[in-house]
Amino acid sequence: MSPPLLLASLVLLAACSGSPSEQARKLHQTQQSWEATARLTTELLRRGALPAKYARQTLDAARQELEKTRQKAEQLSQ
Amino acid sequence: MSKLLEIALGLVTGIGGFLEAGSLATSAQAGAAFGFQLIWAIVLGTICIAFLVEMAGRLAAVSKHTLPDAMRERFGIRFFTVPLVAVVLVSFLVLASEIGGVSLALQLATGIRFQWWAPVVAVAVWLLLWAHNFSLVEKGASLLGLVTLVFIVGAFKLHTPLNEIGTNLLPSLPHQDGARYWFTAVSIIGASVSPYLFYFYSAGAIEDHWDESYLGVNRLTAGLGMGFGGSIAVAVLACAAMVFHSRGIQIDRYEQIPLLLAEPLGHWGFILFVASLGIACLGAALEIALQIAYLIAQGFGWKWGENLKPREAARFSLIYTVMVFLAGLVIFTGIDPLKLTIFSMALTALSLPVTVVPLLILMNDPLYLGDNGNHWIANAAVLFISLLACIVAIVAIPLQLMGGS
Amino acid sequence: MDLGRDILDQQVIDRKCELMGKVDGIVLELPQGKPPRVARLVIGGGTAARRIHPGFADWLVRWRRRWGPKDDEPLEVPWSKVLKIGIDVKVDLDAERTSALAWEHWVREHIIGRIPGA
Repeated sequence: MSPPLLLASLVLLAACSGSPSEQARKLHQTQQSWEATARLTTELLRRGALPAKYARQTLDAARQELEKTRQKAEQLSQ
Repeated sequence: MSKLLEIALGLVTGIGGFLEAGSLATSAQAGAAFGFQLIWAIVLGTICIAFLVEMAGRLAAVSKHTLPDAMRERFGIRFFTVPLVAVVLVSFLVLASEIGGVSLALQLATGIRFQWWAPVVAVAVWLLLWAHNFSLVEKGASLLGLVTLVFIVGAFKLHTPLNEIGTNLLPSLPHQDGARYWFTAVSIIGASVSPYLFYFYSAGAIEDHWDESYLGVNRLTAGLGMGFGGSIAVAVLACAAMVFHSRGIQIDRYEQIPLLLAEPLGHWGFILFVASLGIACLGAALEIALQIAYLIAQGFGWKWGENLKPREAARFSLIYTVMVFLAGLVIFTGIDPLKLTIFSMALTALSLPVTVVPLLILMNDPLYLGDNGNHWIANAAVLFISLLACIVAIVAIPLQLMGGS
Repeated sequence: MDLGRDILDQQVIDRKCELMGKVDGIVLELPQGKPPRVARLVIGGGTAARRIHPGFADWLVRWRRRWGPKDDEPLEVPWSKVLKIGIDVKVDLDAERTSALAWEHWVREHIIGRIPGA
């Protein structure tokens, strides 16, 4: 591969995989997003704005996603 | 049908038919992640599709050819296969996304997982086409599609600041998350400028025997229909911005999206969201399936027609049958419908030059359009937006894939 | 007349205005000392595939021989049968009686026709 092309590919690759701090920031964002989703769902359920089954499934989804985030964060810190 | 009625119908179809899985998902994601910032992408996409739909209608009215028919004729079989393959592939993925959308609406309503609904939805879509009275189905779907106006109600209920909408009609650069910003922008444009819209429109114009006296109707229908439709997508984005952005909620799963109507409108908001999702995606699925069949049948000179009995247009009917069931199968595998939708929208944007340039060439060919060829502004606008979307897509898609969506 | 522009890849309709296919090929006559003339139009039978790529056409032919109608030969329409050339090419034939609709009939009989409600 020609040097300029090689350099460009490396830059691209570095930008994409993201530094560990970038990945940590994204994970934190996702965690906050799902926590907020769970809060909003609970609040709306209390208000009677959501059917119980849907709220339950959404809270389950939130729990799953938060667990995934927690596991990824553990892997990162190792 | 009287011209006034045609315009009214065109408007209803434009409003009711604009929103589908792609516009819904991309607008919701954009509003949640970037607030009101990406409204310009919806505006750009809407302008582009309005031009393209008007062109497809004008081509049909003046040259009496549908778009695929004219493309095969003008470019010959060899070059025709390029847009043919590109549009069929991309449209198939979008069809699967729409079937996914209906399946998800049913999941939201019943709690039963969307995969199990996929075969049911596929059969329902197929039956509605098999009944070969599509004119009726289309009018019904368009009227029902007006339920999507609920997003505008929601946006008002949330006291959406109109100045925010105003300032973001023009493009701006992202403050952070650059790759994601551009990827979202590109997927919004892909959602707005779906080829199926203008291919389907050209077939409709031929079926309705449009001639040059319909050019005014065509312009109004395309402009107002797409314009109003685009405003519904803006309303979705506004609801997402007001409900999600401030809370730091990103849209990673379809299940989160109904909250943007449940918050302002309560229980009815939830119900009408589910209805909007289901109806909009069902309407789109029907149109895309037909459009793929039109593209192939018209390109090869086979019999075609949405109101013909299946046995009167056997190959045409076979195509939509196979497409619908294959698309249903894709969703049945349990693939994430949200990821599929966003990805197909980005792919649509990537393939825009291939799908749009043939139409532009035809629109400037006096053999087909006579004196009714394109104004240079239309050419410039469409070409610019398509190339821009493609180039940004080329950069943004790999970045998004590698960064992990 | 520009053959490529006005005839090739045009829609063909029969005398009852039924859709028959596209002009997939043109056969020219090259009489001695005279300009070339169109001898025949060719419709279907894998002719279009050959223009895309001969290898692709060969593969398609093998596939077509295994399935589908027996009468799968390209339809050759003599120039004398061409009635009108305009938006489409109208020919003085009955589409149902020609091989142009062989596949249409085959799909109708073997697949579509077997599904209720067709």
